Amino acid sequence: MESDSAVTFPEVPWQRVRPISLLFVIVAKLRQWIIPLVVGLYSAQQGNFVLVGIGIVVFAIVFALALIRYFTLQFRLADGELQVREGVLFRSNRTVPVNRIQNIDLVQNVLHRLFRVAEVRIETASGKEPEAILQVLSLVDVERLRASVFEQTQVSSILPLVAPSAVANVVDGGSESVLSQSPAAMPLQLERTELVLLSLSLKHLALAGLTSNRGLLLVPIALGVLYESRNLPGVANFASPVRNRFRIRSDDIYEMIPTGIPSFYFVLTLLVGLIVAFTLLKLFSIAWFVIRFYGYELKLIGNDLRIGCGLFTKVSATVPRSRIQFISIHRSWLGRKLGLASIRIETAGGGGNENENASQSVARRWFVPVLWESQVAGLVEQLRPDIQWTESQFDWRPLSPLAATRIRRFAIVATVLLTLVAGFVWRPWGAAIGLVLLPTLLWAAWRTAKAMRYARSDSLVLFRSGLITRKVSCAFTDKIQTLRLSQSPFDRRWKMATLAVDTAAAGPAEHRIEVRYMDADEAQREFAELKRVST
Amino acid sequence: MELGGERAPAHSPSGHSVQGITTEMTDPNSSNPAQPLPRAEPVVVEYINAEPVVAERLAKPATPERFARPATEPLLSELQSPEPEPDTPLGGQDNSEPLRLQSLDPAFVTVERIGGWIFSGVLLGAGLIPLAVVAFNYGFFNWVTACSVSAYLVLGAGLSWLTHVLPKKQHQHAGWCLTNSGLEIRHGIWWRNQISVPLARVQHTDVNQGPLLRRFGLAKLTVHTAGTENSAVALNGLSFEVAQRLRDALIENRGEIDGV
Repeated sequence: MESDSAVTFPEVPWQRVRPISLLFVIVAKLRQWIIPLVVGLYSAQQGNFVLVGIGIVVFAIVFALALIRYFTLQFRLADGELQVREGVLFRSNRTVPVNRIQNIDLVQNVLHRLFRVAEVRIETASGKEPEAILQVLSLVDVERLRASVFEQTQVSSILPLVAPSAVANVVDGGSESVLSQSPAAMPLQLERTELVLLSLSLKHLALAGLTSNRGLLLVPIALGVLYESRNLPGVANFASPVRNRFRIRSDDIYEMIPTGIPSFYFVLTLLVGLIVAFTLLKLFSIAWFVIRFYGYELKLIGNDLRIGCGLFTKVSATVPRSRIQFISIHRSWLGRKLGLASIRIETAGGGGNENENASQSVARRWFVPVLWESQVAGLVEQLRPDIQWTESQFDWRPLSPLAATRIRRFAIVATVLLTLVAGFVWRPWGAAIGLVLLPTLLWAAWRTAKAMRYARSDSLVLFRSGLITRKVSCAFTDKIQTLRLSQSPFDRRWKMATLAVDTAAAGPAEHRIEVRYMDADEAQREFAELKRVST
Repeated sequence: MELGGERAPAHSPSGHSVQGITTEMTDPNSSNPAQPLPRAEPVVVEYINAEPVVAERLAKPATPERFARPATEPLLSELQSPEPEPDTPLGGQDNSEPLRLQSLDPAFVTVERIGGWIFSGVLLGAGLIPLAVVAFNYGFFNWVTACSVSAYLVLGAGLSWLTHVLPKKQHQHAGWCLTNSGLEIRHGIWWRNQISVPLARVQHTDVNQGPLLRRFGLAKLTVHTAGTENSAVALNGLSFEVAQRLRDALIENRGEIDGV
């Protein structure tokens, strides 16, 4: 095979990142060091230059490292591999097989856009970090890189058909993207057919903002700014009246509780305050969606999905269709009323890390931030052409017939315990909490049991659950990593078991296939069946 | 696929084709006598452990054990399920035979007990100090001392049970099996778990030995997948030889698709 590759791919020259990348490295470092910088400048103002001196030395080192990195970082695409080399004293030489690349992400903040360059992240299924970060490439280079990765993936999958020794391997491997087509159809694939699957207008984003409470993200930030403003000399006077209002002592709480009949004025203030807070929340949410997803477009290019969006920081992510591990459709309560849904996907790239970057966040967690209910089926079928997505047609199996009873019993026990504790702590009126808790928990138990369903089709495992936000997720049988069946002593008493399906890099979908309260016999049968089909 | 094509021969030094196994896996019934299995040891499940797990336990129904429970009890074993397990042991065995589980090496119970006794010995020894303090403060025939001593004895008995009896029970409730569809592991007495790793999803494997395990010729096999929750499935307490053979079998038969 090596000889074949050598013939097909002649020596490719090494490429460098743009010279402007130096600037970006420095800006990024400055952003990281902003707090020490402020502290240093402040102490310099006080006449202490030690910190400034340290700062200058550190900055010089960072600058030198950036220079070295810039002058030594080289990359090229050759022999079906992306090769990246860098370093002077400690040389690193990294090769990433192109057919192992999971996705190529592109991030452009305002500064990047000014210079028409972008940061490129290339991810494989390994580890938590991107396999290679190329900071920064010009947009032309990016397009070239994407095109050649795409081309090489196509070529390398066709190549074995030429080499007789390799044919068997490919046939056995059953790689879904290539083998579903006849060899004659394959050369057509090299022409990159471009198809816009979905584009979102401002109206869509406004609706998405209305249905979500993303604006809550900004509340702690606003409070933090308010709190921190105490330390900045100029702002103190401006913010202090507001801040004083937030500083609540225990006496204030008693003062705030109205004695006797609350006055009309008090109720009015409360109402207006609530309305203002709600409106602000929704406005913030809309702003968040618009900033994040302005100009959203989902395209199908060949066999790759490409998302591009962003008002200030533009993100473009490329996900090969065959790399999708998990699809999850979320429908919030308000979204259901308006006929809206959102779709999240999981790919193995950058495996489930906690601090995901903007591109990952957009490409997985917010794959399709909002779409009409009528568009869901068509889009999911585009994500995985071999599936038929008719949600009502799946063979949805209810959980164990005792599931509702069990959850209800749990709700009752929890209520009794909480009521006893509350009644003891705030004697005797604390027990009144039970009056609120019991109907709420019983309702929640009823909804939970009603919403949970499990289904399996030829190539899919599906799970549906959710109390307020309904989530429907599917994993593909050819992407199941492990299966787990577990049974706690309680499960045994109720003749139930939990069936869980583990997939790669789970997390962004915020939903997992973990079917609790399944009938034990059925769970065991499903386990055996899934085991059989997931090979 | 290019990479997979290069990788596969490296793990099959005898040069047997990977597709032989793959077709085998997709259709276990077509065991062609003219074309014997290309492995030296075709039936991994049968030869490995001398202890006949399922058979022996079924023979002793008096002990209510997990793999041989009466049919009225809820399951975590398909021995009770109406249809026989459609799965077959690796090597295309008789289809009608139920899944046979291998138990872990019995020596592992000893290892667990030794480790447990070291731990609880230190704990019980340390417990003597407050006991001595109480005894000297209140006198030896005081009710406070009596209560403390009996509490100590109860805790000690509990701890002894945990260190001495629990490993044996755990051993009775743990088993594994390698079939055409992958490696299946079961463990747990109260909280029971049954984990299956499809052969095609095995990324890599580790065989580890601590000093105690080495002393007893045992090992811990860890199977890594690309998954999230169960990205490392551990099988502790195999004999070293079994662990190595199981590892070889897993690596040899892992599929071409990486499943990601």
